Amino acid sequence: MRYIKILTILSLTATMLLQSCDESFLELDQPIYPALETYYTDSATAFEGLVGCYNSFTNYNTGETTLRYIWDLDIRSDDTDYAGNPRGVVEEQNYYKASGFANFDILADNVHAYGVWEVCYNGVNTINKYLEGMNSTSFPVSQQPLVEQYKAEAKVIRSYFYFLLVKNFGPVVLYTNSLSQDEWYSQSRQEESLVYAQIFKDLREAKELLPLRSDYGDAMYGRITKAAAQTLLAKALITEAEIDGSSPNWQEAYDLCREVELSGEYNLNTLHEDMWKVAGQFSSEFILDIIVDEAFDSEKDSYIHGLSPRYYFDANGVPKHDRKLEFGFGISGITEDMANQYGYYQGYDSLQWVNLTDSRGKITFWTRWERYTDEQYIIVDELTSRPETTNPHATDDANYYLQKYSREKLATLYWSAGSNMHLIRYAETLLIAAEAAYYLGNEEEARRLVNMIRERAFRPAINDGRTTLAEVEINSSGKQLLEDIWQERRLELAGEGDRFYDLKRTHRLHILKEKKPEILFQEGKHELLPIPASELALAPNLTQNPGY
Amino acid sequence: MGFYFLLNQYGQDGFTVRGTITDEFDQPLIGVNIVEKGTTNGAVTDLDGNYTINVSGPDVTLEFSSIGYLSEQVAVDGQSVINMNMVPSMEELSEVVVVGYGTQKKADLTSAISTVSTETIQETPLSNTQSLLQGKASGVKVMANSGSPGSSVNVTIRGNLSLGEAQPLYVVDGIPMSSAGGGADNGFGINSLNPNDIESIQILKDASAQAIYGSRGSNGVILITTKRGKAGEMKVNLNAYYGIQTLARKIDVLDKAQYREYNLIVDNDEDTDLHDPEAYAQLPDYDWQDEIFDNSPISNVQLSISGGDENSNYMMSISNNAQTGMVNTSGYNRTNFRLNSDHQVRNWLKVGESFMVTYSNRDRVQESGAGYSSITANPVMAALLSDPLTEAYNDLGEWNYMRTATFNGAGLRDRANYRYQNKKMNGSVYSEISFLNDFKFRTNLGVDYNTGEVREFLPAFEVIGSPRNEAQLVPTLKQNTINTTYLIMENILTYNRTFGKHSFSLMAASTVESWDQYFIEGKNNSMLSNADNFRYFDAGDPDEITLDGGADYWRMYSYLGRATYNFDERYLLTASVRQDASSKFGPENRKGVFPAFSAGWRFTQEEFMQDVDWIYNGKIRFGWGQVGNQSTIGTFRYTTPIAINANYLFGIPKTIYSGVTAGLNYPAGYGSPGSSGIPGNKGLTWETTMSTNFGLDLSFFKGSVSFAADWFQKENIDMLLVTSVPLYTGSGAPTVNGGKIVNNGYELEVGFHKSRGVFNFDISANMSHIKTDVVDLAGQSDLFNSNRITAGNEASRTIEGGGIADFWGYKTDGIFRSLEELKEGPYQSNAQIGDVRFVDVNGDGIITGDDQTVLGSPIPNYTFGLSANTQYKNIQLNLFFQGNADYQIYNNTYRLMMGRYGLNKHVDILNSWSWGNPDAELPVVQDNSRHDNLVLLSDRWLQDASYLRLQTATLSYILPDNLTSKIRISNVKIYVTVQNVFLLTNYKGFDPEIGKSVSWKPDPLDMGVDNGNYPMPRTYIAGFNLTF
Repeated sequence: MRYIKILTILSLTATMLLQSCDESFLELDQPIYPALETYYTDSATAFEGLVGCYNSFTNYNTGETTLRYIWDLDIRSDDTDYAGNPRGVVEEQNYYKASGFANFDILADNVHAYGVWEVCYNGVNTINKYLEGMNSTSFPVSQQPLVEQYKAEAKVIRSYFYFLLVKNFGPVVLYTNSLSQDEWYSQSRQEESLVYAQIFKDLREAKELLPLRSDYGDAMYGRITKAAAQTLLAKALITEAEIDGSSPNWQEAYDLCREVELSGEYNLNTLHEDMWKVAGQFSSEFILDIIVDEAFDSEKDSYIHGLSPRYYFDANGVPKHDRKLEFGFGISGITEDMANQYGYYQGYDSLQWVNLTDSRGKITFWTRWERYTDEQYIIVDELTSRPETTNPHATDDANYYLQKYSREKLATLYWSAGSNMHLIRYAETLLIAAEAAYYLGNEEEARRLVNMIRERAFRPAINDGRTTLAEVEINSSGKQLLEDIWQERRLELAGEGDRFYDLKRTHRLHILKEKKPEILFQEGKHELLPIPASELALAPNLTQNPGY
Repeated sequence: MGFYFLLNQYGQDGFTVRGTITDEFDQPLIGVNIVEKGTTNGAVTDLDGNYTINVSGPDVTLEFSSIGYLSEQVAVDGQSVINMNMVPSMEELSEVVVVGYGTQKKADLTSAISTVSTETIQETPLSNTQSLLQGKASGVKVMANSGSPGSSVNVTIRGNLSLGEAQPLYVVDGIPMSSAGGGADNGFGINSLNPNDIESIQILKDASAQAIYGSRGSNGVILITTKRGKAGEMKVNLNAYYGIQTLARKIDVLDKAQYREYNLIVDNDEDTDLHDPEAYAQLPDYDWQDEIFDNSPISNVQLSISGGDENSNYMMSISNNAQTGMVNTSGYNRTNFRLNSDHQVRNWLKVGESFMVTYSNRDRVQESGAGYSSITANPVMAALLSDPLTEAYNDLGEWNYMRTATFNGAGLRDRANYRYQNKKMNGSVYSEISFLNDFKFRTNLGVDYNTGEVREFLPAFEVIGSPRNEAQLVPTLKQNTINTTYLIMENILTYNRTFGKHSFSLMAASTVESWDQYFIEGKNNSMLSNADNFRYFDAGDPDEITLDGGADYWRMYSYLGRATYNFDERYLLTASVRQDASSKFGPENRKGVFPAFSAGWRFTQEEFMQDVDWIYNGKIRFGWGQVGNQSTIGTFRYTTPIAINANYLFGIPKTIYSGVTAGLNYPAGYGSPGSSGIPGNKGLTWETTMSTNFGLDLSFFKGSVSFAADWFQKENIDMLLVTSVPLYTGSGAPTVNGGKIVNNGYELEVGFHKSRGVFNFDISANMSHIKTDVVDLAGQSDLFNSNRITAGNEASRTIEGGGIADFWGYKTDGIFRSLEELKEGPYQSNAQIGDVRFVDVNGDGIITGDDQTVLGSPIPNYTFGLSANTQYKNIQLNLFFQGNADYQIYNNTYRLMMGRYGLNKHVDILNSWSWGNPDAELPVVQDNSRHDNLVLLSDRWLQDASYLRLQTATLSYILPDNLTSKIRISNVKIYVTVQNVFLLTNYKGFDPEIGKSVSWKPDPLDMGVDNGNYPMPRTYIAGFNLTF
């Protein structure tokens, strides 16, 4: 009897034990870090994820600023030149290979090519993961429209990254889901047309779901708008077609830009010299901005540190008397060729500035012979007295620095410029439209659009009587009109990172070597950057671009 | 251990046998088991060696067995008195060995298991359980990481097979002991155990033994059994010793005269006193090693009480171990309590418990770390690098500034305030039900609760005038607490049955485990004062306090089973299988099955061997099995975590919105579990070790000579490693299963035992050879560089085709002695006469980074130990030798002592090349920025570390009975021990026994680099052991 009792107890115990060990015993939530699959449950958490997507524009938590490379990459063009360390210094070779962009001495392990590749894919992965998390949740019906809008915003950001990738590397790895372990190493590069097709698809869908800027209101300034998707799409359309050799869809590009114009959301009322100051950073000109602020996080806008000139102002904006330069690598300098486009000639005549009727010259560059204070440029002394530097990264061998984004005074935080980064401006929308109108045969429309740009650029000179509207307006036609539109693009968007791609899509990269015969530019090679060598080592299906 | 209860008392009114059992000295033998053969009916001898047993009839056979003695079988044949003189057994064939989830007779073992027995443990007054294993068992490599009190020891069983942290699993009285997180060197784990409480240690070395521990067994399993009470009169045991630790070995640094000689050779113009003999004569000749290292005390007191009757037994102990380090601000103090007992509640029900409570305090000084400044911010290093012209303190008793840019070592020592406190409760309760004669059902409930605390106070100080700028203006405090709770429930059903010559044993069990940890860490970088009572957070600027905290946990459940069968103790078979399900892996990969099989053939049981007298026992063993490893990865690596740190700005004015991202490479906060796993890898699962073992056990001449040999191969499949992925994934480095490491080797153990009346002689020796081949790293060779010497210069790397953490760098071939030699050889930039000649390994005619190659290995190829025990009447001498051979140490201390002027030097430097000394062996000493002699990592800094150490020598005396019985003490033993008696080695540092780096979160591959490691002391101990 006893044994029967014991056996009963035993079997009961055993049964209980076995049942207690079901799978739920092992289902644990990770402390502090919630799981992606279950995190996005409502519009509030979805918004947090969206903020994370925007964050990939600025800081990838590595201390490096994501998009500083946009400007560095344009060192390849005839607009900007490398103005950082003296070429050949060891440290320079190791860390700041942007110098190689100036003369096309670009190797497969170029740090900047690597950087562009890395930050773009960081963004792609962030957004893919976000969309994956969002798609694994069913949101309340009432929140559906908002959720769809968030996803559309994320897709525009992803398109921006893919656009940057395809422009620089040609065929690239393309994926829109998060990769699993067996996919990590097996990716291959997809044809440019496929990458563009994805960009077009995302942007065409997104623009239908996105609000106007006025719908967002001031409180949400900086969010992706309908106009941002439209202009980015137009830009991608004309870029892809030219690269492909086929005829661009000029009509769609024109219509997109025209819709932006007709929306009445943007205008050219802001003068250049105001637009590029901290005070003017919320101008009605800006269509796609990256919002940065020194008070928030000094590292978020450290692109300035790489991009802009060294400063020699104190915290109040007063020039330092010892003329020592501080801060900033000043990697991107303006070429003399660019400076000359505005009618500036190297020299010591302070009146030259006064004679420049194109107000953009004064804001695009400054020279190392001058200081900027009290709203005026002052030519200082002689060439021989150029400022010394305390900045180990700066050697000051450039004559012209990019003035856009320059800091107005010594920032309290080390790297900061304190101003938003402007990725797409309304002026560019109009210039795309002008180019499209030209190709569509509507020269009058093209002239109307390009003259809007010119009128604004010369408005101060017109106002004070140094020139007249008639004198500055473009009246050309035919091939000359196209050349004028292209030239206007160059003048208007100087130093904003587009020149190299413009030359490439209009098949004019050969002028680089014509202007500077000493550069190593090779056709059929240097249109693209090398795929980072480390990628080829890890992913056997990847191929290198020709010539590298 | 080793006594039986009368489990089956009723219905036994047949026949009574009594008698006295004696040992080889005709002394009564206590605790001998007497069992009626074929039944569970048994008895045990009392203190006087007497026994009484009721057997079922006059024709039965009695089995007599006792650990350390040959089992005997005697047919009763109607005798009512059977006296027995037991013959000691070297072979201990009848010994019961603890295997996972059960026991087995040693004779029946089919897998590779080593045992460290009570006697061995008692012979060695050590405060550290891990050190007990050193040299005692083949296949077990034990390397001290540091000689500082309370430091951990690196134990490797049959070689590293993993690139992560690979500690064996410690199981104490059946309950795995959790090693709480927070780094390996915190004493939270097995070192909280008091070695004097240990009865025996079994080491499961091959997969056929380990597989029963499933996904956690692959680094080897160490089973520890603690002492339990025995039936009989209460025993009180008092064991105490006191000792002095001294520096075992001094390093030959330059004294005052040599220092001047050397500085003149190298034209040191900076120190004008060197050029003024009169001024120089006024300077002291200071011995910094004497300053830094003191003779320091160590003591241990243990009191234990044990006893019991047929129904209950108990063992309780309290002990305290206290030591001050040779660097006198380091120290260790541990207090242990233990209570073990068993109770036979009914004849079918037994319950009991084992519990331990430990409190320990460890004070540390700065030890080796990475990077130049932190390496030299170490009192041990400072003892060697400080110039002999400066005394530690000035006339005011303040720390002197040094003549050169070194730290004042006395200051480093005096200021040290790192304290590790640990409180642990570890134990279990069990119930065991016997039913249907052959079945037993046992339930264990175990707990391991640990609170570890680290407190680090950096006082404000300034060394006036120091060229090193030694100062800290504001005191800082850092304090963290880690709480860990581990719970386990096990249910084990066993069935044992013998039918004639067939003997079966079946076991089935289930276990459920949970592990929870939370931690909190505070920092205040602005404390008000150095005062002792101000070293708490409230005594600081409240605005400067930062606080971190987090948690981690895992769960596991398992089912396991084992079947053993033996036929006539001749053919032996064991098979086991375990299934684990662990929360560390994703739902698809949680479950793993770990099978094992082993077989043995005792050919000496065969008919044809019966006439071969001289072979006493012979067995051939074969084992195969699969074991898992999940300890090298953190928890939640299968999920993609959301990180809350991706903010962005919107609006006019700009406003911060908080954002989240997933699967990105964001920095992991301190201890944030899983967060550095980056992208979740749903496919992640444990790594599996497949191992094969062949073994041969032989003993000759009645067991007085024994021999065991094992050959094994271990192969790692799906090795867990942190790999790198292409940038286009946008992710950081995930953890994956990939890669493969293969270990193979052999082990030998021999023993000899001779007993002639009052003379007893025992010797046992073991040696092991292990070879490790890194076969596959999933193409990721570059990732596994470790042992950073200077920025970007790692002394070792783990590459495919090599071993683990091979030393890496340039080979050298003497020095250039002439212009011709310079011209002839491969082009070596910067080289001049007197410089080191590097070897052009790839033969391209120029010395470049491509000429770097594998130079050596920090892992010994051979490990050995030898223990010799001689007893004559009451006097006993025990000698224990131990050593490692065929490996190297990267002597970074020596490298720093062979550099340019400034720091003090090794005397070797006087043999440096100069125009005045053109035949010198060593290269010119010059500005290190121009010559590569010092800068490049080369074999110049690798030193052969092979050594043989007389680890302990113990002389003990047992007071004669006629003396002790008068004072009613049953046993008195007094002893003197010297530890680290001598060291035979060519190594030029303090000690070639260097395991892993002892930094807070050590890189598991960071081993074998001497960065001024805290040396092992020589210890003189005197003690006694009283039993009432």
